[in-house]
Amino acid sequence: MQNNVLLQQRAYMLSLHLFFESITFAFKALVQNKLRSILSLLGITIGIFSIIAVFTFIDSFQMSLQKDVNNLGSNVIYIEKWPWTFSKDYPWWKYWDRPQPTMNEKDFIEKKCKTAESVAFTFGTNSTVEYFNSSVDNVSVNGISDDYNKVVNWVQINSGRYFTPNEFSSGSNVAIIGCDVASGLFANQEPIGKYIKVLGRKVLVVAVMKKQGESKLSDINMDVSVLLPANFERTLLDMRNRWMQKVILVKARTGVSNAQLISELKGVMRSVRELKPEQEDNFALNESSMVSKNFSSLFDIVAVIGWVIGGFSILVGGIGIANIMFVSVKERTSLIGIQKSLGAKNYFILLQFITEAILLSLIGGLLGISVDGIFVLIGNAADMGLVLSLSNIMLGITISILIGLISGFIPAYTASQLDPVEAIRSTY
Amino acid sequence: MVIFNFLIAFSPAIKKIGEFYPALYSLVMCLQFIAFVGIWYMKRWGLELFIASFFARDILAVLMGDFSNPGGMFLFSFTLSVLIIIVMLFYYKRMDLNL
Repeated sequence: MQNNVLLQQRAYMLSLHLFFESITFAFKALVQNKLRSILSLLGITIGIFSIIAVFTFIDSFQMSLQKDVNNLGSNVIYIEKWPWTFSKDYPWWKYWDRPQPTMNEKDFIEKKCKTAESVAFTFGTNSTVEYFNSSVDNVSVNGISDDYNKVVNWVQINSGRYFTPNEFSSGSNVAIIGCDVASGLFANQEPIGKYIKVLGRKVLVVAVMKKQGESKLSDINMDVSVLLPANFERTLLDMRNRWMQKVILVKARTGVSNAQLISELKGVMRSVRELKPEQEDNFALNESSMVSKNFSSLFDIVAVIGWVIGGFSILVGGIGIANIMFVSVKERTSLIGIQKSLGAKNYFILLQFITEAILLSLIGGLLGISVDGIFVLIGNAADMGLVLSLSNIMLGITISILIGLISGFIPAYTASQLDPVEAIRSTY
Repeated sequence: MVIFNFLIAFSPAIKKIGEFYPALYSLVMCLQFIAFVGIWYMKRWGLELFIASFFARDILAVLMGDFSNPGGMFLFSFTLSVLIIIVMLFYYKRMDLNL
């Protein structure tokens, strides 16, 4: 029994020794012909770089899109005049005649809708905001109702406080400003407690929002916006203006699906607008998944294009490696004959050349991933938010290894089947 | 066909199924390629490896739902693999035992 254990241990050590020896042989062979090795692995480098770059871009964009979807609220329904996606059958001129949502409808929904957790109302316009000699143009000035911060989570206060219920109900002249508005008006000064001029009226700044960046799903950019209580902004704007965008935001209760909420909202809105059964809806119920679906199909197209280009590049790279391995076997035919005559088994010769092919391909793959990493660093320096995930790195390494295995197997197997006498006699 | 399937293994459609599916699928394709080389040289290990990779691919196909909703390509490759195994089994005794 002790002999068996010793034999097993010896076999294990021998296998390990053979494996490391193969790697040493492979590395020496690659170093001997540096230029040839570099040219061979270029195809793999370019292929891996293309594929991983496309996946990195898509993953980064999807993560950023998911963040925007979370901000928009995956369980929030937006009741508006215009839909976010248009159906081919519905005539476009019918959208023009639709009425805008109103504050009364919002109050009605709050009372009647059982599946809604919170309901908010918002409307606004673009304007210039001033503070003494400083001004910021094209600021989105939005009037919001009291539950706005419960429905959406893009009112993220950096300093100061949210509006009080009294300020909402009395329509006080207070404002929450975005970080770009704060930096544009106040530079190094503290904005809170100061009065700014919005739509010709002085308003007191009570809070500054955190920097959030522009949303990819909508034209909302909270950094360049000013939020006012709805009852105050109503006094500054003409609410009968049909071009002013008004939105009712409804958040579903926990456990209620968007489909259930939409179904109930449809009934409530038709009821408050006194629509007859034969009349079509004159409102749109929008949700964030509508927009993310459009992006999803775009991602698929980009991914397929990148994969096709990268895939063929890898194929060409693999053929290049196979070609070089055949040359390598031809060059070392007499060496293989000598090795075999000294007792080397077929599997050792096979392992030797396969290791060389895999090592070559792996180095090419790692170079491709490194170039991707450099591009990600450059992209992040330009604030693009790219992420090279570990799964993509592992995918690149896996592709490299397997391409090396496939490309190198036939030359390696041919080498392992050589007759030792014929191999020693051959001249290269 | 094996090389084409190998490229498909890293397509976005397979990646969506799961993180490890591209690696597993491409490994099976790789083993199938090596098996084809073995069959070409009339080696027993080639046929044995081909049968093993055939079953491994079917297990992956079950996990990916290919059997419940089989496409034309899947049916073609499944039928072709079965035919190859049946034909090569007739010649199994004549195949070389060695590596």
